[in-house]
Amino acid sequence: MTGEKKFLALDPRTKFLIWLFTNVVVFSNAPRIFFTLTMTLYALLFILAGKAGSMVKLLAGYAVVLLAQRFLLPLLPSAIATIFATVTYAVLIFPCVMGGMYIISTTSVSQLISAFRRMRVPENFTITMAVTLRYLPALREDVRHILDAMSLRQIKGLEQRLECIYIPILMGTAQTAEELSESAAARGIEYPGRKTSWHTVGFHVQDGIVAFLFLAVCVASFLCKGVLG
Amino acid sequence: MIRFENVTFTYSGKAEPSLSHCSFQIKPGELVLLCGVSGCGKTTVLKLVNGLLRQEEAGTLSGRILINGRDTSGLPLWEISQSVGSVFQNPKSQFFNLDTTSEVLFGLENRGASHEAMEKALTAATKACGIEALLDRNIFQLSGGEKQRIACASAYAMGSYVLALDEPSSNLDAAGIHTLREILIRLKSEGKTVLLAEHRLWYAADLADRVFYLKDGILEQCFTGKEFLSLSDEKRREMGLRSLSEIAIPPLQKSSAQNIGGLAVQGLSAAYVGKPVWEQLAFCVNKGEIAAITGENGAGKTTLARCLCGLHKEKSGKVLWGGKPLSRKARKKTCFLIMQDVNFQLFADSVLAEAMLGNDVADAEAKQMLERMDLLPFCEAHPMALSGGQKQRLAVACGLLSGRKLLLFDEPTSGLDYFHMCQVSQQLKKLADAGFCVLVITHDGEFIRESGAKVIDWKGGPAE
Repeated sequence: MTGEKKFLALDPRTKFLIWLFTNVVVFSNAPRIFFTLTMTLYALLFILAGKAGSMVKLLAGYAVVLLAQRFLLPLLPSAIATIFATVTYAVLIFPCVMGGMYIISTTSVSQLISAFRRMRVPENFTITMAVTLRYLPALREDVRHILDAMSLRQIKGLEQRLECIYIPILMGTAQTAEELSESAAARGIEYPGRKTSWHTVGFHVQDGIVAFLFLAVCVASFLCKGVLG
Repeated sequence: MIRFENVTFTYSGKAEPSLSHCSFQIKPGELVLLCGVSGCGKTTVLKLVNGLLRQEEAGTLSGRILINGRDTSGLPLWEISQSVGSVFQNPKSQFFNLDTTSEVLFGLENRGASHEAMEKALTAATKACGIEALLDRNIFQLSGGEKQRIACASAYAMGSYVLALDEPSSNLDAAGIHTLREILIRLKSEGKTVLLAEHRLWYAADLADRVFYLKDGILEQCFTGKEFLSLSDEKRREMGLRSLSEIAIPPLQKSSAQNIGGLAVQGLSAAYVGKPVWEQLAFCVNKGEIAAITGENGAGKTTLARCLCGLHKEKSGKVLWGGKPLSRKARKKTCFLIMQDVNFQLFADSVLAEAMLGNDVADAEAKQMLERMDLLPFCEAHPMALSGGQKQRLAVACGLLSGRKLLLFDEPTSGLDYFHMCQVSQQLKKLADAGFCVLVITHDGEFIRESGAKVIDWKGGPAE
């Protein structure tokens, strides 16, 4: 999230743009080779951003689902296989998942806010989005505590566990949301005038190159439809 | 200057006002300490100053609040925030950004400050709050004390001349509290007006120009700093206030010699994401004993608690109960953890259902336990409707009903006033007298003294 100076930094808007191109490639049912191409480009971006670790984890997850789909799925009873099939849907749209992860893991909340403001996204949406992103790590901490507590209380079985996780999460969320918005309000988030950003966002050479590469893949995927497998 | 003129505030949905007929005046550059037992109205005063209770849905307000001569009733929150900076209690939920530098500058970005202005404010705040080493870091990787320093810096950076701090020390260890004190000294020397609501008084009592004592929503007494410091211990306890001077944690003692009855830890080591947290721990806690585990934030106390309960896998070593080694799974059934935030461990929709959840006990037995914990009158109530202390006792009841012998408390007195702290220590004493093994993680010296806990050298081995 920090140390952008050492690594390749893209403008958040570029990240959204290439994500859009990726979506086009994935949902236009382009030949498989273009899936692989976008994934390779994203893998490179992860490495250049100094996030090789998260990329490896992501790809490992991909491999596990892929293998399960290939070897495990035919052996499962049909009811479970149906449920599992929804999980395997993630494989089909994996380049989009990768793109989303790339945005989340390389963009700070304040960069995102300033990019949204540049794009003239309504302030209400921007703030909601920022709070949601901010809340995710807090939620993860809460869930960890609750799982600990459940395991000590010998609460077993999926149904009972889901029922039990519900109340503390809800209470926790309500409280966290209230405290977060108080802290934001106490620092003038409702100021109606123009706002500024410490992390300035702006397009640089690298934005052009990356956007061009993704655009090229996107266009090529259309041109090659019917030509390649 | 802050001025309250006959201010009464009632939260919506409440019949009684949380603050009634409150009048006072605070001069520029004064440090005012707000104290009183939980629910006395301290936080209400702060939230009226920083404007958070100004929205109509929060409650009804009568009287006038003036900041710097201006009536604040018609002012939007963002305008009040230009003159009043706030620091809150809970480090988890007071940060809006994920990285420290953005957080410090958040208030300035909101008001559209120029890059140069931000740079200047950042430099000043960095110096005032000692956060050089913390800039450009992920907030989630900071300790509680470091987080609170960032919170102070972000209030400071806004350049407000009034700062409202709501129990900023709740989650801090001794070292963290000492840095907080240094920041207060600094703010005072720069002529800032500071309103500080606190239970822990020792780190700020001698800095206060005046002390407001609130009781049941009424500003009962205003002391000068000197008068307040000369209060007798007896009077202070009567008022339900914590000690005015630091009560140091007593020196570590060798834990008890091994006895067949209780807990023994031998050569225990643990790692967290590959890094060793602590190594070769050895100590014993006998039945009927209250042992305190102390140490700075980051010493691995919570990991120890989780490890003893079987929630964290040890790298090597043994945990014995009654002389027999316990597997991780067996530990989950022998030890019970009462978490710092007990809300995470209450799941059911009534107190009685909570007591029976996951426990193989009859109705009558559960009720008997609730009676023992003074919870029987609430047995139909929702656990979330209980007070903090009641929730804690309910968690203990759940642990005891499932036959646990070892009870671990993680910071049970953080944010508690004198009365409630005494209640917790009574509770612990009762449990020890009933023959349970009690371990408590704490950095509350006053609580250790009150409960008579033995501060054990958990890294140094038991007595021979």
